[in-house]
Amino acid sequence: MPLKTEHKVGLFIIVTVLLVVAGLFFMAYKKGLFHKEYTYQLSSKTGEGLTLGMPVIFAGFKIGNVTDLELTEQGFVLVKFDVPSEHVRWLKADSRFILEKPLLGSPRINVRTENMGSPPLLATDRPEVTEVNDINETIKRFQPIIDKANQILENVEQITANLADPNGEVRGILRNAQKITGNFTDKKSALEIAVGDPQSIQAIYDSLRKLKDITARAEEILRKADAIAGKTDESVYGPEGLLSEISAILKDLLAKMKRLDVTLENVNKITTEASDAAKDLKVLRSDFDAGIRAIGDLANEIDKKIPFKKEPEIKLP
Amino acid sequence: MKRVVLAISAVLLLVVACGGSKPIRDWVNISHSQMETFKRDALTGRTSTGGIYYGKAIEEIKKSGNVDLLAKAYLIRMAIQVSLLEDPNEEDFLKVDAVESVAENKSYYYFLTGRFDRVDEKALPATYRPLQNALRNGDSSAEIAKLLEKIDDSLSRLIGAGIVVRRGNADEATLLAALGVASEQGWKAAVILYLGQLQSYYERTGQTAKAAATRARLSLIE
Repeated sequence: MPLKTEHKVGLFIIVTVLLVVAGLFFMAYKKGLFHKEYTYQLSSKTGEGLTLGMPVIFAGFKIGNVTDLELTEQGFVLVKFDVPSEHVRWLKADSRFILEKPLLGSPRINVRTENMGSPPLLATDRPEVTEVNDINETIKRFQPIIDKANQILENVEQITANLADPNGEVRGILRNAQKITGNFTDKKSALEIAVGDPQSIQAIYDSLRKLKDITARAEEILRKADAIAGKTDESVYGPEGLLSEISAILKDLLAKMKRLDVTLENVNKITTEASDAAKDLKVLRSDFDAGIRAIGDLANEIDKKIPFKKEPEIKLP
Repeated sequence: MKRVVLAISAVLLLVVACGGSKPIRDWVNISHSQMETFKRDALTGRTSTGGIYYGKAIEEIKKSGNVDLLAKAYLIRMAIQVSLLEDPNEEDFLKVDAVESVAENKSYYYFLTGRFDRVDEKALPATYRPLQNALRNGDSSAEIAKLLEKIDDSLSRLIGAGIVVRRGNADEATLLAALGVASEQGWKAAVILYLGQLQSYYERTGQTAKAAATRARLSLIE
């Protein structure tokens, strides 16, 4: 027998209400509304930093709230907090309760239980709350840094005192600098002052000239490679072919050229900052030679990679 | 289709295999390339770098201990000097020749230095034989200019022209032949040199208009 419309509507409303109520109960259950709560007590020398509703944390999880604060006859503060039945197991007779006041965020009571095998904490026990203050800790940590800063300041003071002293080291350095600038008028070039040897300078200039020529040579070889690229040939186009190999070599060459570029710039600087570059000059010189040799070798390598190349022969022209 | 792909792969493999034949020895490759750069630099007038490359080429050849090749390298420098109308530096070659004399090198040496009656023509590079023959027989300058034009290789032609000019019987045709090949190859040092020779030839023969034009041309590129 089919149901009447009225019955259907009634049934729908009843089912809906039942579902809503069941949902609400489920949520309340999950929130721990029906869990049994146990009240524990702590003692503290001061009530400073303690507030009602303050969380009690174990291993980063909230396991309870402070519910009551009382000043006892003996002059200490009694802190009462509630813990639901499922979290009671974390509280042991030898647990430590630490009041944490972080630099950022609200204060809380942190529970530390080292030995899980200890007997459980009793409702009548009154363990003491110890305090950790981040701000004080931070200041303690900063202390050595401040000490160091003080040392530096002292050193600066010494240096400035040295400056004022006519026989001090700083004055000596300045006198040497004067000698160097005096050299400018006597010698041919700033580079010569730095090296102190005209032959070395000639070598540097020769190296520079050589570098230019080698670059020109590399270009020529590239042109050769371009001409070969015109041929449709696996050994040229393939992933392991000549072109990819050449491009790899060229990348290397480019990187090396860039390094040399920096070196060249240094040479330019030498002509203006002779005293500064004097110590780097030996390094500079070997840098040149190494760079130039590397480029020469690369050019030679590229040359050898060109396929079907016959072994060259020196003939009478 | 599969067969075609297979066939193409086989051919490509063969090509690649050919490409990777015997690797060129370093000293051969470097000495040759340095020598070529020396020639180019000397002819274009970059003498300072040319010297560096020549030194490097000699160094590489010495690595092999090949005396014949060393003699040839010295002769190449002499030939370049002759083509640029300079006095060739004979000393180095003569030192090597005293240790090991090779007919081909010796003939070339006599040819470069203008001692045509001592040249063994059979040992001389074939390209110079007609010119050598004409110079020994004292042929007319017009005849010699014609023979110069017949030399295919640019550098050989310039060297031939240098020998003729140094001998002192160069005419306009010879100088123009040398100038033509130098200009075509972009050998600036040679271009300037032979333009100068041409100008003084015109002045000597009283062709003032041509001399002035050559001087103007010279001043533009110098």
